[in-house]
Amino acid sequence: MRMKGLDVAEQFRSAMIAREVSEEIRRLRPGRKVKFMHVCGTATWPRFTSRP
Amino acid sequence: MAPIHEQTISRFGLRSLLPEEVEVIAGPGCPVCVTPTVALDRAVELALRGVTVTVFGDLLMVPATRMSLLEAKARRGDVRVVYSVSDAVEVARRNPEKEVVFVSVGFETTAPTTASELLRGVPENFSVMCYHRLIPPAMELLLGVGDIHIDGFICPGHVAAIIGAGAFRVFAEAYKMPTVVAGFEPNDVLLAILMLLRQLRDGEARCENEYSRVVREEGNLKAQKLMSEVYDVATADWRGIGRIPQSGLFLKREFEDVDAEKRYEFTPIKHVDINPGCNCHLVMVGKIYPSECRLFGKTCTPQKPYGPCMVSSEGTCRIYYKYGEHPKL
Repeated sequence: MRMKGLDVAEQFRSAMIAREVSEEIRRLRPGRKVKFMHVCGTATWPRFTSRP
Repeated sequence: MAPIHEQTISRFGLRSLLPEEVEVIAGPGCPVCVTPTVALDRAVELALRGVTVTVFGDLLMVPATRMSLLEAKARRGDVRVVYSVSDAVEVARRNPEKEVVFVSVGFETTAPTTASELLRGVPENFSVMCYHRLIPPAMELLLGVGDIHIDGFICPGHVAAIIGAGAFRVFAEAYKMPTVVAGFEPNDVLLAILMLLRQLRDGEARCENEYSRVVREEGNLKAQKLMSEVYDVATADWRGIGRIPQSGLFLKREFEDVDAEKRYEFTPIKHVDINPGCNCHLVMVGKIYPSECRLFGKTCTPQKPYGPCMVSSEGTCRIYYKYGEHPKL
């Protein structure tokens, strides 16, 4: 676990969600593996949001 | 927080928190990586012809057919880094004797800014090379690729802030693919994974919005209006992926006078998107991890990138290189 830059409360929340993820995967068919794809798309996003 | 899911996942080591049955892969999403070589080749040509070319810094080192923009700059090409289209317009205003071209790349997040600037009016010596791309058509294409089996999409929160969470509903409704719009904090990504798993558990496919503190169902209507006033949607080329129907934004006829592609003539050359041995096209569609590429970290490094995914801080290979991510293979 490498969670530099996160405070203790956030790390705790992350760990709790990760535990729920582990519990949830156990509720699926035993041995089932899942694959999720994340898709992004940016360039200058913070700048855009800061404009009036 | 960097608005890239892969950066959040790699930087905070989120994969190490997940059970080994859960795999998270990166799909297309780095605008610099998917910008076709023709854009860079033309920008290089203009710079070497004395035109001032303004670009986002990420584009400088991206390999092109003959040379990168950085190499063109080293050969006295006038290439300048800007942080936004407004800065590029300012360059044009301050240098009325020079022709200034802005290479406008990015997805739905960036396109409204260029549209806004064009509608406000730009100096006569300013023009735009428009290479904006749209995310949902690329996702639709991925669903048609036979050997990519995925169980859910984690959708980009910033793109959804513009086009609305509703724009991703089609994946749940038409393709029965669990879909969650997510933010970019570590807990956003973890929550999105949890929400996808719950959909799988329930045997349902819904489009859920995890990033509700930013994203609305209808998106940013003002930004959408700006885009519809300036751009036409048409089939476009994506570097390493190919031609995707209705996936590109092109300047409308009313803006022909600021369209650099129409203003200048270019030397016809054969544009090379993917160099021999480069696997960026496979990384971009999630077929392989960067560490599975033979060139990764050897021939191809951030200092000397061989493929486009190693250049930008948003590129999957660059992120893996930086954070030493070695997923379970």
